Amino acid sequence: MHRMAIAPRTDWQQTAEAYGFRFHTISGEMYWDESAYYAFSLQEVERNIEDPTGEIHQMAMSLVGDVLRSEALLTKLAIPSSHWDWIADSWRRGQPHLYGRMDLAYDGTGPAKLYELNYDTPTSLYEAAFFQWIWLEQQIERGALPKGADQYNSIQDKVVLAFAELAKGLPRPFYFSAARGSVEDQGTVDYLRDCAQQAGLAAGSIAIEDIGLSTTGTFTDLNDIVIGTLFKLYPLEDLFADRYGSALPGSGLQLIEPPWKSVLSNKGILPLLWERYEGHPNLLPAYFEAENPAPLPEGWVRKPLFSREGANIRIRTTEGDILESDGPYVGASHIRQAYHPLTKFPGGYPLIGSWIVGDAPAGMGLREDAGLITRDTSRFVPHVILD
Amino acid sequence: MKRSTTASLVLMGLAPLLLTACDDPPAPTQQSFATVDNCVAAGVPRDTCQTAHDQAIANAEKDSPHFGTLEQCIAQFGAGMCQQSGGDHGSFWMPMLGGFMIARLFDSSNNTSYVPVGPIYRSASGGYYSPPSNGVYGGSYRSSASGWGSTASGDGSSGSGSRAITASRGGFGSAHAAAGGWGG
Repeated sequence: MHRMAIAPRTDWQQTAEAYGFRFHTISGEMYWDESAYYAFSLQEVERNIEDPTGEIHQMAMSLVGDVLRSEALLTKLAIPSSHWDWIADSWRRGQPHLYGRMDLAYDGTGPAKLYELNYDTPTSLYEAAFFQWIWLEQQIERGALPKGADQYNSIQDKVVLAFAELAKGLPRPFYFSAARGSVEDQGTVDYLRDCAQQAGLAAGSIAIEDIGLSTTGTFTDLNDIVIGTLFKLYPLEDLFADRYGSALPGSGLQLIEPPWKSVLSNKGILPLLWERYEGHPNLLPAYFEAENPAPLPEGWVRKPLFSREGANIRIRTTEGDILESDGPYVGASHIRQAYHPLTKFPGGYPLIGSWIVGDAPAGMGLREDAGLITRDTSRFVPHVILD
Repeated sequence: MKRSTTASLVLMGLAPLLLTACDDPPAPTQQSFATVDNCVAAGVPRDTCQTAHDQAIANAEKDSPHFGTLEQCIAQFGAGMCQQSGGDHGSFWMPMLGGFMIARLFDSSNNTSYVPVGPIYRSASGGYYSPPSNGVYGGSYRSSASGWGSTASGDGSSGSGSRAITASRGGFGSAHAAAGGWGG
């Protein structure tokens, strides 16, 4: 694994805009950064990223049923009891999931280590699945990268395939939804809707704020049509807590990601994974803070159960320094994970986002941050496989 | 090869696509146009553009979101983007027609044809609303993008799409309305 400098395509911004990539620059800061790429060998990708991703996914899935049968565990994960039966029912019915992204610390040496699962509202999908792919094709075409260069990225193929599978069983009409104010989230759901269309699964789009609740307890679109299935790029725990949250169990609405994903998108899954698969080479020791306040004296990372975008993380390094990120997740329970810092490369600290589509490992995208905590201000840097 | 055989877009973006990593036939694409002239300029036959334009106008009321008050419409689509309906579908407020969508299709012999898809409605913030479309990839057309051979016929609402009386809106999305994005 190496970081290589490369000249950005002179027309990359026009290309981005032509393909609907409206968040390549966020708040004036570059987000898409093609002034460099990470080069991997095929063996690094297959043995150290792809295979562990499939294995971690299976381990995580193996826990879902047990958690849903245990009131103690559901309580520990701060999942509201008002929604337990409905969540468990979504699992028993086998309501399908679409995707997830796991964040892995890997620098080319030793086993990749799981930082966390983003299994409910993963983003950076469009840039990993689509724009990174376009970048590689154009750089090969223009002679900047060798013809044999490849990429660990069949994400779009698999997403389209997944929608084609899903299309058979989803209640219609099918809508994609995200918060209106977020350009990034809207871009991501636009992309997913595009993939669904390519699979022959036509869908509408509606802002999450525009969804209506009918007199009979169903959810409606702007034409008062009852929504059958809703893909929501919006956290399940926030849906539960919103004003309409109590109406979800009786509404008949099918969700993607499904309610049972609230078990896997919860940072509490990390100590549960460690408890069951202690010593697995791709897992870091992790504990619920309330149970084991100090089992990790050498250095640890403290995460709220529901944190996203690297918010409210506190790191105690092995040397005893404290790093902290701010954010909105206050008052929640926390877990602690063993300190295993990212390795510094010339451009910063790269974190690997490894994608699962359905149950298949599908590809990866790297984000670089100037610090050890990868936040929403990080830059997306493309990668290639060179053998 | 560890990467997708092709990556295409049919709804997003301005430019039709593009590249394939191998020699698969191109994927169907859709584009929206504000005027017949824009449509012709993109290489679509004029009569198809005109038909799509006329159909979008004819269906604009039927397919649009319906609002009871001007304020509700403005809340969703922005000031200056709404009008009152006066036609066969009752009296209500609706966003103004923003244009029409054309699908470019390829059959198994790679022949190109163009099909009107329906109206689109734009909001002041640059977003848009498009009703679930009606099986534009049905029949003999296939979505070659995935090699999947999908011949979906149903639209988003076929078989169900029952109506209900909406009692309220806005009960989702409020939890952290000020925060911006939810990606993880």
